[in-house]
Amino acid sequence: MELPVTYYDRAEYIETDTGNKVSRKSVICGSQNIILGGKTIIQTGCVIRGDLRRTGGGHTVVVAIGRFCLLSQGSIIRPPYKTYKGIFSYYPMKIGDHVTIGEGSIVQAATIGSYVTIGKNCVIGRFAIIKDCCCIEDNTIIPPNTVVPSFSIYDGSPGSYKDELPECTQELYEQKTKDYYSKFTPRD
Amino acid sequence: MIFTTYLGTILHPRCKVVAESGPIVIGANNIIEENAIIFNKNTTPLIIGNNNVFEVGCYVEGLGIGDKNTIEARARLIGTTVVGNNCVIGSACTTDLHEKMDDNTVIYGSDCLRRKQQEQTSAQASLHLRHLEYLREMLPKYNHLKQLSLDG
Repeated sequence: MELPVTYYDRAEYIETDTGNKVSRKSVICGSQNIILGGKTIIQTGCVIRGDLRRTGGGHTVVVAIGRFCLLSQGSIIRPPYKTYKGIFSYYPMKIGDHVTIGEGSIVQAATIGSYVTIGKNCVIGRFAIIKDCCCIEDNTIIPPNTVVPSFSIYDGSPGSYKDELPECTQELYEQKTKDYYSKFTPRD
Repeated sequence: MIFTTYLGTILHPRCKVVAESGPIVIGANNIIEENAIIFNKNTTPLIIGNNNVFEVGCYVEGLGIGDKNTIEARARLIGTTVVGNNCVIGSACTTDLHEKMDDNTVIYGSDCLRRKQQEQTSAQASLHLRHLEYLREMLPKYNHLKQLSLDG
């Protein structure tokens, strides 16, 4: 599956030492609490809420994103919240490697594994757990606290199991995200 | 046009309140999350009560909203909707154009089905209170606050 070359405006994106490409038109709150693994692309209009951190002192990581991830235009990453033993708090979110999040999707999951593709305009509820090698189709609503098992395709509202992914999913998604990153080139 | 809010309402970064043709009055202790849009296309004022939660990316028009409602992520309130108290509009659900929602109504699922829920419990109320307390403590640490004139 060959992807076309995606061009971007060189002035709009900041490239870090580890190869992350972050749009200046995205909103990153509490950037000291966000970890990007490297070669991750954050596109225009994204919102990442690193300021909603766990109560209590010390340095905390709020959003950890792995390598070769893609946050498409207008996607929102915000940590989930709950009260536990009477204390209200937001809890950290972890996203694995080779994860693609589609345009306009809202993610409040607890964990997203590696090799996951989330379509456009999805809503991933609070404390949902998405395991490795999953596909969430466009416009899916994953309710809070759902666990999406490995190699499954979910769609609908509320999201339900639809189909199974092949064994080669890991290689496919790895190839896809690497391909996208290498073809995400500045326009000169 | 005029947009008035009472003390205690929290607006997250990037939410929009657009009073195009008529004023918008927002009560106390509401939470309006990022990318939420509150829009008034009518000339009559859009009055929003207290203790409501407008989650990420929701879109709100209509004639009025009561108290203790939850508008979930990407839900749409359209036309001349009137919302009662303690209602939930589920993720990506839409109201009808001229709907009058009774108290305790829940809209859910892909077909926007409706059902009734129980009155709000004290646990839910305290969650909202604690959420407000948390945001009041945490948001100013990481974000720049814009000074609003508080003569309204």
